[in-house]
Amino acid sequence: MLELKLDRVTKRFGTKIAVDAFDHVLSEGVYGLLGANGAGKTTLMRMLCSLLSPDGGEIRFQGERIGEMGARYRRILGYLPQEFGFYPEFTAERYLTYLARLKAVPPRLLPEKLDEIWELTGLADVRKQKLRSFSGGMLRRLGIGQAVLNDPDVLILDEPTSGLDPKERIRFRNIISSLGKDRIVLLSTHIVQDVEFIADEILLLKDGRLKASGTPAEVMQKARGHVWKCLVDEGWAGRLEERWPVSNLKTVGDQVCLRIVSAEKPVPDAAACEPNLEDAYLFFMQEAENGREKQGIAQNAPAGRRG
Amino acid sequence: MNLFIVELQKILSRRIVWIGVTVIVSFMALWMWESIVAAEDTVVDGVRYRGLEAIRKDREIARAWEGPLTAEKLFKILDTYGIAGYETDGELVRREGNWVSRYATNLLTDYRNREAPGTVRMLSGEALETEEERIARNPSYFCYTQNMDFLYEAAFSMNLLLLVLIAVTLAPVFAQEHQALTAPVLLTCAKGVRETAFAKCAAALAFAEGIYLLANGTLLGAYFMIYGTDGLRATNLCGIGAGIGFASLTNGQLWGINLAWGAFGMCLMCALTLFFSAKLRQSFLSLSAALACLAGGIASFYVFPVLFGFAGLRVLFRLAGLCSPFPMMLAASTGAAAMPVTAGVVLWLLISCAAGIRRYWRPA
Repeated sequence: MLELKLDRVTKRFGTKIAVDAFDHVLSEGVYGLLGANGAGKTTLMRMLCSLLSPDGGEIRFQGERIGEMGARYRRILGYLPQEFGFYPEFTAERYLTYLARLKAVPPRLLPEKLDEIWELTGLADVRKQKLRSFSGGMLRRLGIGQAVLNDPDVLILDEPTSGLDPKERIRFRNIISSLGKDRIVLLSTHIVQDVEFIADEILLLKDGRLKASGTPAEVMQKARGHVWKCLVDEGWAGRLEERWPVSNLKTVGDQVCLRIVSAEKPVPDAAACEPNLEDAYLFFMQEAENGREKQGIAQNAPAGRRG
Repeated sequence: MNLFIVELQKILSRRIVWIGVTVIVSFMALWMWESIVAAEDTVVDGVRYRGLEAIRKDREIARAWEGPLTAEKLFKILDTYGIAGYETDGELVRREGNWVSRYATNLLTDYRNREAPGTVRMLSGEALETEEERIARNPSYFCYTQNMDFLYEAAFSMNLLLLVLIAVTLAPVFAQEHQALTAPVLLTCAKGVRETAFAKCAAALAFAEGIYLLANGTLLGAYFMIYGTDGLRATNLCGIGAGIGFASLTNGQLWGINLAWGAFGMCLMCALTLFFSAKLRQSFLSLSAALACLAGGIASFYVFPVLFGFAGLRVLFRLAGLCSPFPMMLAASTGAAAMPVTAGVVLWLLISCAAGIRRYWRPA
C-alpha cells in the first residue's frame, strides 16, 4: 500500500504564506486538488516533487522523508508541470527516449514502454514529427506520456487541462482516469468538472490551507441544504449575485433563473436543490471567506468588547 | 541514448556556434593570406620571387644554414648574400635579399636603428661586441621561422575570440533549461540531477576544447602547409622564450606549452560560464558575467601590470587573467616561475565552479 504523507507542510515566500500547515495522507487513487488561482496548488505540487523544500513540516513517502530519498524518490515520481517546456527541435520519439534515459528506464523495456505511451496518448502517427509542430493538446498528451514513462508510483499533474479545448480535455480526463490504478495520482485544477468524474478524493485548497477533503459525494453531501434555485427578475438577480455566490445563471424570458450557494434561504420562494461539485466548491470557498471576515472583524474590534 | 551526445547536440544546434566558427576561421584565413602570404617576396640571384614561390626559395636557402646560431654564421651569411637593404617611399616599400640575409642584416647591422633611409651599415665597435656577446649568451638554434611571430599573435587574437564564442555558446546550457521551462521535468527525473549536470559539463567541455583544437589546428595546419614545420626546431621563438625562462626550449616545445595552457584557459572559461549559467538561470546574465571575467583577464594583461608595478600584486591580478589563453603574455610580466601558482589557482577555480554547478543545478 502506497502512502504519501504530508505533515503540517508549510511554505512561505517572503511574508506571504503560500501553503499553510497542510496535513493529509495520500494513498493509491486519484486526488483532485481544487482551488482558485494563487491558492497554493502549484507550490504544494512542487514541494511534492521535491522541486521546493518546505519551510515547515515534512513530506514522507512510505515513512521516509522525500528530501532524503533524493534520486530514489525521483525514480518513482512522474511530474507534469503547469507550464510544460519542451525542446522544439526534438521529435516526440527522441524526446521520450531522452527522458526514458533520464528516468532510468531499462533500455530493453523501452520499445515496449514507448508503444504503451503512443497508445495511451494517441501520438503514434506523429512520433517522428518535431515538437515545434505540435498543438497545445498534443504537447499536453506528450507531457503526460513523459510523466508516466517510468511507471511512477506517485504521479503529479499540475493543471494538465489548462488551455485545452473541450474535446482534448475529455480525452485527457480519460487518460488520467486510466492511470489511477495502483498509484497515487494528484491532479490540480481550477476546473471543477475535470475532477468530478475521475477523482476518488477531492482536496479543496484556499489561501494555502486545506478547507475540505473527501470523495466527491462526501464533499457534495457537506453542501447539501446550502444550494438554492430561484426565479427572479433581472434587478433582483444583480442584488442576489452581489450577496451570495451564484453557481449558475440562466435567463428565462424576462426573468433569471439563479442557482445560489447560501447557508440561508436567499429569497422566500427559493427551492433547495441537490448540490453538484461546483456548488460544493463555492460553498467551501465562501465558508472560508466568511470565516476570514469574521476573524477580521474580531481582530479589528476594540479590545474591551472582545470575549 | 547517450546523455553526453544529447547535450552536445543541444549545444551544437545553436546557430551562433557555426556563425562564430565561420567568422573566426574566415577572418583568420583572410588575414593570413592578405597579411602574410600575399606580401611574401624574396630575391635570389637577382630574381625576385613572390608569394608561395618566395617561401619555397627561402626555405631551401635557410636549410643550408640550419644549426646553432653564432656570430660567425651570420657574418658568413652576409658575406654570401650581402646586406639586405630596402627601398623606401617614406614607408618601407620593398626589402632586398632573402629571408636568411634579412635575418643576419637585422642582427648585425644598424637596420633597426637606421637614421638615414636607404643606407644600412654593419655594426662596429662596441655595438657589434654587444650584439656578439648577446648571441653567445643566448644559444639559439637557427632555422626558417618566417612569420612565426605573426602566427603567435594571430593565435592569441583568435583564442580571445574563441573565449567569447565559448561564453556565448555555453551561457544557455543550464539557464536555457530554466527559461524554456524544461528544468522542472529534468530535475524530477532519477538521473536528471547529477547525471544531467555531468553530461552537460562534459559536453560543454568537449565543445570548448574541440573548437579550440579545431581552430588552432586549422591555423597551425595552414601555417605549416605554407611555411613548413622547420621553424618548430628553432629555439628562442621571437626572443620571448628567453624572456620568460624558456630559452632552451624549441619553438615546437613552446607551442606545446602554449596550446596546453590555452586548453586550460578554455576549460576555465567553460567552467566559469557554466557556473554562472547554473546560478543566474538566465542566459544573458550568465553571458554578461562570463564576459566580465574575460574582460578582467584581458585588463590584467594590459592594464594592471602597468598600474601596479610589483610582482606579488600582479600575480594576484592574474587571477582574473587566467581565462586568457596564452602563457607567454602571462609569463612576460610574472615569469615562468608563477605558472605553478597560477595553475594551482586555476584548479581551485575549476573545483569551485564544479561545486557551484552542483549546488545550483538540483531540486530543493
